[in-house]
Amino acid sequence: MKNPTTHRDTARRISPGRMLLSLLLLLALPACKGKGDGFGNLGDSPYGSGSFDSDRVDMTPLPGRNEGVSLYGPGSEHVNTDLFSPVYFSFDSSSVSASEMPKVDSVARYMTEKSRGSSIIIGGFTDSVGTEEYNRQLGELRSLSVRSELLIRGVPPDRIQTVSFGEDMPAVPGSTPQAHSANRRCEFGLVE
Amino acid sequence: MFCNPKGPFRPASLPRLIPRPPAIRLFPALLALAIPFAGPRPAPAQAPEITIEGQSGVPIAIVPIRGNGGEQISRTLQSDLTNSGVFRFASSGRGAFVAEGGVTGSALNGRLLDPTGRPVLTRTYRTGNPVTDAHLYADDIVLTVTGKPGIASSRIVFVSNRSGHKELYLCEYDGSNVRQITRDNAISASPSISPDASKIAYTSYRSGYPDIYVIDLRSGSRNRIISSPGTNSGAAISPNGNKIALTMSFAGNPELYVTSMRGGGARRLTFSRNVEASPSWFPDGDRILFTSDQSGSPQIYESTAAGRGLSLIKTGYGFCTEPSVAPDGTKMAFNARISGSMVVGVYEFRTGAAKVISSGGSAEDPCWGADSRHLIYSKNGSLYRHDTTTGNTAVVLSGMGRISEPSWSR
Repeated sequence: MKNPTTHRDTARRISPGRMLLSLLLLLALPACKGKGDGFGNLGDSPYGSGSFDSDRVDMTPLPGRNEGVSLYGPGSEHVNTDLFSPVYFSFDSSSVSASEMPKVDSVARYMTEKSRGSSIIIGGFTDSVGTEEYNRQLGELRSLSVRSELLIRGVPPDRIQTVSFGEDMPAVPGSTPQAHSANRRCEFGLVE
Repeated sequence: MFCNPKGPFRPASLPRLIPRPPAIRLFPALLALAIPFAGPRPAPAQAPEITIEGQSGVPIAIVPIRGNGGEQISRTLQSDLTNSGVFRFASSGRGAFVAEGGVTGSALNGRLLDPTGRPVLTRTYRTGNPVTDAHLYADDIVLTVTGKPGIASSRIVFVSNRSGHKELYLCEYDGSNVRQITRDNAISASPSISPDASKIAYTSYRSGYPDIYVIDLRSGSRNRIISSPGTNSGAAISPNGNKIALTMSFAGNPELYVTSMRGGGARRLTFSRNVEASPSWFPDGDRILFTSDQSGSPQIYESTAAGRGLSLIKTGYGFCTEPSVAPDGTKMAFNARISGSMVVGVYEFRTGAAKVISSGGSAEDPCWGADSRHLIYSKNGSLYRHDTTTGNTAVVLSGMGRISEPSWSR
């Protein structure tokens, strides 16, 4: 998947032959987590321009946004950010480490067992190293990485929103190594 | 108000109407005189057959502008021609261009004489603002002498946290006439000003989520054009001003898209499980550069605006972000992380050579000016302008909070 040629091979309109080829390629990739919702057909989406395939099998589109409720903007009074501990990341990484996974487990347990109708907003943040726009997207990748872990644990996709603040809104101001570590995080906001 | 008289500059399409004269030891910049311009430009001049010794710039003399407000115009003209990096000032006389002019009513009549005394530019400027007229006259002088657009009539949009929130501000290329554009008390980020300085696309967190808004600077209107689920950011307005490239994550991963200026017809360019960010358009509008970390660390990639032909730009640096294609399409500026700090580099597409042009502090978000010679970037909260020909660096703006993410019109 890190081979740039997968980009070139991913045409917007896929012939049946190429579709079959793509399927075979996907089956040949044991490392990928099969979710059964691999091809992101966004033909009816207001956001996409038509159907296209995707070379990732765990790509689940985000649900429509719940305007009026957000982590730190309008409607944040309906969001409880104190319930779950932030998940922390290594520098320039969006992988959830094994030591951070219990935090994800507890969120998943809460949402699948305790409060089955609840929904959550995952906020992604970065340290101040690097440029702002890259960090904005890195923060979003972190949110989506945590979201993937929640999906694996059975949380329905329509109950998870993501947002990235990049290096804005640091948990700890400053540019010490300690501040950087504390700022590379995802926060959870439970919508109440 | 945001008048921009410049037509699109297309070096490739310029007909070579006038043969280059057999000048001996002609200063290279003057060779450009042999190149006529497209559109309603000043009449092209034939290169004078002269020899100039020991130059560190094209010699030019400014005759004080006559008439009402002439002093201000002369001062602005001198500043603009200095900032262009093209000229050195000479006393009126032999071997130098001569810029002269006068104010009639509220119009500036400008006239440039070549070193033989022949008029090579005669134009009237009537924007109603003497400083704007002077900027336009300065850019016409630069265009006449070098064949390339100037930067004097351009504008810069940037983010500052001066008010306690990140808001957008607009200023002239030289840091004058700063105006606050947004007052949202929310994060405003990643602005992109259209080449003609008529529109700004940017990211705002007004809704609590990062959405893309477009501000029309002529009418003052603002529209939210993209509010897809997830994070929408990094809008870059295309060279012809009618498309936006950006990153959206609604499909489940941050990916690059191209949309119309109204946010419609989104076309997806990338398919990966990594970060794709910070698109920058080539001048022809059919290719873009962007950042991707699909190799494990962020690097600069090129693809067509349809998402085909992906290739890695090998800068030689391990952590590269924020590409900016020069308007002449021959080079890019980018950020590289060296020893924990961000530096600005310039990479030439033809040779593959890259070099660092910033020093001291974390220099971020480089953006080319219309002349493909000057770069702006932010460093330690201030805005800088760098001349890649002379290596000179000047502070454009400082002392107004933390300045970041500048974008420069053409």
